[in-house]
Amino acid sequence: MKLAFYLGCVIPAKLPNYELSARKVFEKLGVELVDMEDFICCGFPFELFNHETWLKMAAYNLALAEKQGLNIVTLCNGCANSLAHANKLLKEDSKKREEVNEFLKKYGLEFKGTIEVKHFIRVLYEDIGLDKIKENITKELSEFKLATHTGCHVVRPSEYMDSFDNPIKPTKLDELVNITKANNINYLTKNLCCGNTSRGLNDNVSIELLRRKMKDLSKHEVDALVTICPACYLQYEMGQLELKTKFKEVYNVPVVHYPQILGLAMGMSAKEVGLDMNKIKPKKIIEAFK
Amino acid sequence: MNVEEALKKLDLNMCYQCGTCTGTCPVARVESAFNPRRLIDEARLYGVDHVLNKEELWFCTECFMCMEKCPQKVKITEIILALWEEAVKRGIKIPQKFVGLAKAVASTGISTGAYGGKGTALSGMILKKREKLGLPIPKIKQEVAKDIVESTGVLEILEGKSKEGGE
Ligand code: SF4
Ligand code: SF4
Repeated sequence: MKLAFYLGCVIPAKLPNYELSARKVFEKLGVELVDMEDFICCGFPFELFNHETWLKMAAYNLALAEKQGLNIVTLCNGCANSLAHANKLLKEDSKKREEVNEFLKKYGLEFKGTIEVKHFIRVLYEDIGLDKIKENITKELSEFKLATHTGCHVVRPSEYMDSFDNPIKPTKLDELVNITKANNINYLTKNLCCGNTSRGLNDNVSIELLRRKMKDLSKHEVDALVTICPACYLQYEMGQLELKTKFKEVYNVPVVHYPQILGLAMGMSAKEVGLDMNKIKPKKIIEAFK
Repeated sequence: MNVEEALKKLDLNMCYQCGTCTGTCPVARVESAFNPRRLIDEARLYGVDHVLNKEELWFCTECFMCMEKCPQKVKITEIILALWEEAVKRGIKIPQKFVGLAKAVASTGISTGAYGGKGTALSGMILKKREKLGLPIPKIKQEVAKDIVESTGVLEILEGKSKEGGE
């Protein structure tokens, strides 16, 4: 399987541990990632205050992948949402499509509506399948206690995300974690939004949402919280460092990217999946996979 | 299409005030001033001008939970987004974060400010680290992003230089 790999902004700049582990896992599962060249911001943050800018940016990236003739895979909930939403809108609305295509002409691009956009957990779940992934698992993670956080934009609005998962209580990430045999706990604030979007709009809201989750999780003493989005990851990792310096609150909940966990289960070392770059160290896990 | 028509298209008037949205909203749990049900009600009773000036309008964290659960399929989150866009257009509230974002994207093609940080391009340090890890150098087309930002005039809107959209 060959896919256009849309990196987005935050991952290449800030989260090499995520990118590294995802690339390795895909390689092992026989998926060829073709890095998209000449890409730009997916437009997601512009959806908050300027729809036209959002749509043009998303359409440009979509048309790039169409030219390559490849479906898009991304590691970010925001990118997946922005591109999938624009893809659906432009496939359905011929007037908007014409407008956008008029603009794309000068780059030699056209939105035709020939491809799909998927978050990588959807590729893992639907296109590779749990059975095939299981065949590649060589080490069980049964001695570790993990918690999952799916996040919002990869499942909601379900209308744009093709109802891939339950939009209120998503379960696909749990299924993907469970095949590693880790002790995946249930917790009260499991489906609580990370609050990253509120950064710079209402910091109190953002911090309070973060704090609720961390308070809850610290009770469970998990070895790591598993995320699938750079924004959620940073909100929980950098956010905890902020809670520590600003409010002297220490929760010490290590945060990891799902492909790091899957990579370990597939026989990779802690270093190979970039766990040395996580800022709140999942000590027990690193120790076991030296 | 003006903002009132846009809100109608997002089924503002379908709301029957059941309160499911507020009951499901994570922000309403941490900030008692925030109440999406009331926001929807006030938007149609008192009009857009009234809600555009409310500070609570900006408390929403865009989780889309309310919209998913609304029995009347009111596009609540999208209504809030349309109101944000209108407030920015009219210069009622222009969050600095948006200005930084638009500038970063115009000058670098991307924005890395997901955690309230500055939007910067991939610095030499990052590129070196990527090389060490065997990660390829991303090829970003800054000119196109700049083109888009210029074509929509979003920077002028954010800097209050455009009167477009004002009623
Ligand atoms: S859930 Fe829907 S119908 Fe109920 S109050 Fe909220 S917007 Fe109105
Ligand atoms: S989208 Fe906004 S209003 Fe709706 S539930 Fe989430 S935070 Fe609340």
